[in-house]
Amino acid sequence: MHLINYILKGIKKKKIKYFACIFGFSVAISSIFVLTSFSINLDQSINQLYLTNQNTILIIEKGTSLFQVIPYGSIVNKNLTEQFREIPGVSFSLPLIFKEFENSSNMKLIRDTVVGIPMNLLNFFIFDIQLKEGNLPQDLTSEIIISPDVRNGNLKINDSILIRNKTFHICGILNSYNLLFDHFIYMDFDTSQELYNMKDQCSAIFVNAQNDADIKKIETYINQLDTNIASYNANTIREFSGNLLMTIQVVEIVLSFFPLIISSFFILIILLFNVRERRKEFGMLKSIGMSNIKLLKLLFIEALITIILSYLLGVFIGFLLYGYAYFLINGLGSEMSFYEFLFTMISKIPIEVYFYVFLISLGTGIIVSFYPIISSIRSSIVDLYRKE
Amino acid sequence: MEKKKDQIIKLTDIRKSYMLNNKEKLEVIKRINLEVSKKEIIVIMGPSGSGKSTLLNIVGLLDNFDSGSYILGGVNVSNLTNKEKQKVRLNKIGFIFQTFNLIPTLTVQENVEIPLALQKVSQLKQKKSSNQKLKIVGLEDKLDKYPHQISIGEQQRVAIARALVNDPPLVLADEPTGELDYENMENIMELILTLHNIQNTTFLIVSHDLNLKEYGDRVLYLKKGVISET
Repeated sequence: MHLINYILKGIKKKKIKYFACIFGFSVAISSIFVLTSFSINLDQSINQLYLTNQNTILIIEKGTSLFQVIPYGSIVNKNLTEQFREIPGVSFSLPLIFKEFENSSNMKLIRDTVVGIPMNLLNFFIFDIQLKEGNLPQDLTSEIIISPDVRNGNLKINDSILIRNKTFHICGILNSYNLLFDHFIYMDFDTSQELYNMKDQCSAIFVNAQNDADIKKIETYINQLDTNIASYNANTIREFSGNLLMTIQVVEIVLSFFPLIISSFFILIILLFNVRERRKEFGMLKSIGMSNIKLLKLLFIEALITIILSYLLGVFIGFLLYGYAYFLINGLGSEMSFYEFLFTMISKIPIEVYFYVFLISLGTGIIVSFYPIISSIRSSIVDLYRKE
Repeated sequence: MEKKKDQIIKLTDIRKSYMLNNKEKLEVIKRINLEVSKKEIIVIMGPSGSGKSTLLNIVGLLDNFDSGSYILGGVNVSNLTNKEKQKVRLNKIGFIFQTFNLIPTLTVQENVEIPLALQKVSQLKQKKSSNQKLKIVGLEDKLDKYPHQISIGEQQRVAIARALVNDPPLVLADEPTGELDYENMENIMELILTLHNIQNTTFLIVSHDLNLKEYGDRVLYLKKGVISET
């Protein structure tokens, strides 16, 4: 017989008690999983759209809501791109056009948005650009690249899309973990200007400089240049979105750790009773020659099995919950069923989430099981027999 | 005169006391001297509270004593560390408990194999040894049963098989028939005698049951922490 049989059969015999333990712990793990995934995805989304690097300024029309830099009505009236490029210290100046592809309700507010950018500077705009398949446009007047969730992910390479009565072909699909902005269609800047009758105009300009000092000079220059435009540097953008992110993260910590603490307390009680029930067994095992180290290892394995099963169940529950929440944000009104939508979620959740959640589960599980295990190890054999 | 090399247990001036809640000292064992030869069956009798279990715990290295010396199989075990005591118990001493202490989630065979698993014996040898011992105790057809599926008498036989599976030179039995009726008591004691003859194991049995007197080579009496032969 392997001594591990003692543990496995014990779990099998008291499966209801272990299931209660596992289920309670997994509920807490699922909440951590959901909130961690959401936080990381939101952070990535904001980085992707606004924060190319530290030395970047976003220039848009005054009055435009910074967080809604998808200014359906906003236009920067002067094409400042060339002027900014002349300023000493400027690396490049990148104009953008944001335009909504379809008029629709608020639920589809960020769906299928056309972003016109000069294709030769694409890498500087999309933070983590990688093409999942296909290539960048060769014919800038008729080819576009799309994010993976345009039209609910049903489009493929060489498919066609009609934008303001003009047909474009899809030549590339981006790889992205973006939470909210995976519905963008990207086209060449000049083509988008022509399509939306915005010659010599853009919705926003990203200006990239070489260092902090140059950024300040550029900001001063902009403020003097045109009273209709406003500039936001990366720090301001990060501070704005960072405040929002920080608020979300604080709420996340409270929401996720509160159930974790409560469930840990109840799991501790269950484990203590479980260990107490087996005190005589432990006394017998120690009296016939089981060492404290051996008993510690067996009980640790038992705790580890419980932790791992809780983690797997918790991730599964968390995945369903997160998928449902994301479905409510993005999937309602689409033709995709909830289950089809869930499959698209697999690529949304970064791999590091699974790792962080596992570490938290393991750490908490070990802390909670520590006292019950140690109390049975340290008791003398005679005491183990005496105390019921 | 018995030669020292035939001795398996030698207790000299053993004392053991406990501190009570009111900080009074209760002396449970008062200057016990005991010599047990190999292959003997010793029965120690005494009323409840006389210190029988405490004495057995000391002999089995489950508890410490306050003063005196203890030589087990020619080795002084008075000052061993817990780890060393655990190794001695694993290799040299078998235990039979009053309440059998079988693991309810393991089968009969698995219960018997526990000491061998602790000694890291191979699976094949474990099976062979446990089959052999269970055959001797008459339970070869109950290998896959669980403790709750067999009778009380059979459970005690499993406990005896477990105590003897790794062929220890010394077996300690604490009220081995305490939970049994008269018929089962006789069966168990006959079994112990059989095993003693087959394996030449030394048995130290403590009990308050006077019926066990006839099974011992020697009968000792423990009263108020003092041992005597009458």
